[in-house]
Amino acid sequence: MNRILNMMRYEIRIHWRRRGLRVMIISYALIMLVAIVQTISAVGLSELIAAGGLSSIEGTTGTEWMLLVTWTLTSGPLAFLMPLVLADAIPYDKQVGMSELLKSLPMSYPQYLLGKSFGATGALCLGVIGVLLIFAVPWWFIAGSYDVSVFLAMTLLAVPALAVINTMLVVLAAAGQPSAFRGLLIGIGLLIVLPVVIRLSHDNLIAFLLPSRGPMLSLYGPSINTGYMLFGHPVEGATAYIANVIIGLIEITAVFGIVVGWRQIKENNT
Amino acid sequence: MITITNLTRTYKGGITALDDIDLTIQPSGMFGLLGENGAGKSTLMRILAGILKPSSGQVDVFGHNLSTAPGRQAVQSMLGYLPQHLGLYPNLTGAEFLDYMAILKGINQTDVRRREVARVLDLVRLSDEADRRLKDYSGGMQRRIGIAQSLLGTPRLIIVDEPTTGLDPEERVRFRNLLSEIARDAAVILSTHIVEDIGYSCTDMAVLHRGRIIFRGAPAELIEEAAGQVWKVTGQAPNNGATVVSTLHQASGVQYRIIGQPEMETATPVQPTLEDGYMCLMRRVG
Repeated sequence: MNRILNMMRYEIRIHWRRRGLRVMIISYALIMLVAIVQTISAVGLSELIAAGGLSSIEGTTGTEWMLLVTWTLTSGPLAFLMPLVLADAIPYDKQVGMSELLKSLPMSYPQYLLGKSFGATGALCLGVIGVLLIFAVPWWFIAGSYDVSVFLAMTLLAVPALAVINTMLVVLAAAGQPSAFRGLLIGIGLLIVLPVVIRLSHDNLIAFLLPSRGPMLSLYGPSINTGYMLFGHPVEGATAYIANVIIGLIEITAVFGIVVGWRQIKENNT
Repeated sequence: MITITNLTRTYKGGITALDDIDLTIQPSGMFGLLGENGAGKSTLMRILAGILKPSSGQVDVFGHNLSTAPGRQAVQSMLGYLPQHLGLYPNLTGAEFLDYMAILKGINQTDVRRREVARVLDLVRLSDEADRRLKDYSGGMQRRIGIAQSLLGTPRLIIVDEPTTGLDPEERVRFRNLLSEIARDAAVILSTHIVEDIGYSCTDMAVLHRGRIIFRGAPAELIEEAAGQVWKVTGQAPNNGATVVSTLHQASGVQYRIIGQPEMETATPVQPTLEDGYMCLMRRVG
């Protein structure tokens, strides 16, 4: 465990020093900034300050406004786009010529996979959570005072859960690829093509299995209570979210098992 | 002791890289493995490093059977390995990279790791460059970092595959001396096609040719293979099937060093070198 944690530390450093993740997080921060600037220019700064935030003007709560903007701007990119820049976490080792040395080290393949996928996920979480915390203060003034516990639950629970499930899934699925580009293609296939090809549905297990993570995305969004069905039973709101997290974790475990098993078979047949 | 018994390795498509090899390597000292490209040296190195599994046969390293998972794990925990083609993480600094490798080698205590990293950086004379990113290192410096990582944790078995490629002459000599020093307490297996590297540093060696061992003994014994067959000829090179091993342009004309029978009056016998011995051996096996 100690080794995996130490490994994570360096993997996070490696990802942050590569361009992909930095560009993605900076873009995400810029989108947040644009949303703030647009809100201010639409309403007017003096009006916003005088009214005590957008919520007073629109007749809603500050928490609703904060969630509407931050979760909508975060959850979509987090589910579909951000994990793509980390899809090459394992193929990158082959590309830079590290894989032979890594195979000679006293470390099992499952340990290596865990260190790599935790590292990639940690790097992403660090960026997204950092941006959310930075923008928490501007939104307090623009949206109006909001429930801090809701903000923290979103930032420290909902965001990492979505990041962990989709990022680990992509990293593990691309593990066997020989190059960073092929890893990226696997990521695009899994996060973008698959949800488009398989019809998005609310009434069966597919909605929970797909990496589009509908039930997770709709937790704070306007489409809350969209009537998800799981094994014939209606599941809504937080229940649907938790069910989706559990199913996501089962998917990760299954893909992890397949990747390790596949490697074993390949080693025996080479 | 490292014992290799009836080792065969066949790749997909039926290419036999190693063919029924038997070899014993002492637990300390430097062992050289020589052979042309494609002779099977890297395959043997990779099997000894636990990266590849043999198709048949057995490899025991200090009493651990490499065919079993626990045996492989035990061998890898006392191994320092430098692959032939080693890339590095370009965005880490030299010190960070070595620290990361030390973590992966299982050196968990931070202070022990820090000391180890400083020690190996000093051995390869990169202490002053430790905080520079690896992408800013020259090819030779990157190779030295590769060598440094193989020395982390004072391994009992060091396997270095073409270690001196990319090093300047001074660094090559330094590295050979360093390995010779380490070989007092550890088994160092050096694979190369640079004959000189083996001649200057190894006490024991083998020559691989098309997956088979065609010579096994001390470098002096390989030199003996060429006794009475190496000549110096000035002027015209003989064209009777003798092999020209070097050409030296002098004021008096071109001087050739040849292996074989020159059948020329101007030919004078010379003392053979390890390279001559190797060339004689290769001539014999075709």
